[in-house]
Amino acid sequence: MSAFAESQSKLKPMSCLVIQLSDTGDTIRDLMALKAAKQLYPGLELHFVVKEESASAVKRVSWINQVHVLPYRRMLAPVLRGEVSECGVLGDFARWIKPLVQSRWDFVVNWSYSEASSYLAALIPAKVKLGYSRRKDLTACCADDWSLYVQTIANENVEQNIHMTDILTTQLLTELQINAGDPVEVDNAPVTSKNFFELELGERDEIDDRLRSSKRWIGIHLGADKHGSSWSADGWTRLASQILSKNDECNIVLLGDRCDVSAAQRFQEYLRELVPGGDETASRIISLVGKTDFDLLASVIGRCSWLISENHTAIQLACVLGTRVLVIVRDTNGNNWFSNGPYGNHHIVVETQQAEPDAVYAAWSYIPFQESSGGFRTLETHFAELNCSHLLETMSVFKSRIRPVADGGGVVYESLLAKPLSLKEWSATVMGQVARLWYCGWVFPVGFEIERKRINSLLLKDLRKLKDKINILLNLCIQAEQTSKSLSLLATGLRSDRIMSVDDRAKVSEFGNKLKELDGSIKEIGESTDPLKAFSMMSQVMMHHLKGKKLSELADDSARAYQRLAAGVRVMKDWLDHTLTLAKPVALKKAPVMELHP
Amino acid sequence: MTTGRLIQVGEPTKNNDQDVSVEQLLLGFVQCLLAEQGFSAKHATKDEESEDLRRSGWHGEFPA
Repeated sequence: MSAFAESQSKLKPMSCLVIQLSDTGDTIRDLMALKAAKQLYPGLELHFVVKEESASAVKRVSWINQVHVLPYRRMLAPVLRGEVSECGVLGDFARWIKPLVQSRWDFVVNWSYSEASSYLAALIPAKVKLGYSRRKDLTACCADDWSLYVQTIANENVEQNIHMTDILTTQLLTELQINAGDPVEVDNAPVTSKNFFELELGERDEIDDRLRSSKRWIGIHLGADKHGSSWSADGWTRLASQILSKNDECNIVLLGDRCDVSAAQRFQEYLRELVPGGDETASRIISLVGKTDFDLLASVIGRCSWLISENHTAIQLACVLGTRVLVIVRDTNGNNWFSNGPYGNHHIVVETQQAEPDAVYAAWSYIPFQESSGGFRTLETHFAELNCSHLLETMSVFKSRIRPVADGGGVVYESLLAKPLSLKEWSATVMGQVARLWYCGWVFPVGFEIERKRINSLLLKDLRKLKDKINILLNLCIQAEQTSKSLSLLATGLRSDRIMSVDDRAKVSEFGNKLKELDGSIKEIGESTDPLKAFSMMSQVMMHHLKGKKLSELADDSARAYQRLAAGVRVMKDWLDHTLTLAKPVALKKAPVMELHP
Repeated sequence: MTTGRLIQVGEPTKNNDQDVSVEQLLLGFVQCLLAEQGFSAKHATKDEESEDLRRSGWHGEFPA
């Protein structure tokens, strides 16, 4: 335990300020990560900075010590009205920030990962900072290694398969362990719970009572995700009509924001046309679209067996409340849902280009069969029985699972279809390994979670093409590391970084030019080869974050950066070699044959 | 999740030896929040800015 850690445990509980200026979905995701930290470090005092629109969620969590709401709309209003320049509101912001600046924080954790939040994090002093911040010269920086990864890879939609909740949890727990010592021993207590929030329903108890009384409620949230909606009201109606007509025990609660009210009206109209039985059908649906505040929404979602949605916030809310989720993800480029998919066990992700209601219903209705048959009945068989096998061509279906701690923990999404592994999925898996090597110091065994049956000729062709590029990149990283070390050696012997002999100056210049050339080549190979993009981007961001004042210190740090990159590239190389070997035909042992003589 | 890219990949580090003031950090915070609202700042003169700053009650320290 460090001196700081010892002093913390003896003197006072640790205080941690979390900054989240993004949306409610991200706020709820943070709460899940914080709950894990709170279970392991019960003495952790947690304060939360949040925008007014996301405050309700945090205020309903009993173990958050204080919520600091940023009334940015009110404070910015004079500038937005054109009455004053930005300088005219600095006083208001300073008065709001003052109590935060004057508190003594052990940790300031900026999980917003936004530009604005980096300035706020820089203003508030703390012993340990995580996330985005600003340097003394105002340039942006990442305060820790995991934030480099978030900035360069997770936020840039580079393929990787570690969930943001796992990244945040690991990031915080690692720092807590370094600075505050080992956590308390706890049983594997679940982080999610129906009682995660202390809700205040007031006079709306009757809705809650009705949801309690029914056998099974399916929540449908009409709201769109961050990338826009896949479905019109017609699509949702066709899905709902199938649920109602084929599942007598199911009722539906419609959810959505105020902007979804007209879609909800169209939904009701279409449903009357699609499902015969007027009043009876109507009695099986409650519409709360545009009528829910945070407390009612959380209460209703908590009572549902399933939530079906594209909406980010509703999905995060369902996950934290332990309600099963089916999320529809459009198969769009640049939408890496692995990082922000539903967190927990047994959630379903339907990734689709067409978002056909029949396909979503078939995927949802398959789950009880899959779970009762122990996986023997395949999704393909189920789709065939529903006469919609053709829909499988344009969709993928995944089921979430939390790995046991002994297997590394974290959420993993397993394909329910025997589809070949794409290069995209392969790259995401390998980048997850690279991150574990870089920031956790351990990796899964090579080839973990890659099944031979999912490797096809297309993937092999892609991997063979990639193999040469990986070797070139590895060579470039090794050369850059060696050049940086040579530069460091030379610079260490110099009396000054500015005044030196002409020969030394020429050598420094030669090393500098060589590094510039190698950087250019690393960038070029990353830009031309998708799976290697992460390394070239990481190289650039790591160079931005070099630490040191002297030339020798900077050269040392750059050698460490290239060494880390090379280690990551080696991981990818090992996985590639393993995958190629895995696909090779294996000679079967000759079976004993008894010759039959007439 | 994020509302904007923090550092353009490849952005060079400024080699500015002078430490930034609290006022610059506050101003950066306000400007980014305004940008998130889709607002681009009006061009105020130095005198107008100084006058706005004085009226806001900001004197370079966190107000009592």
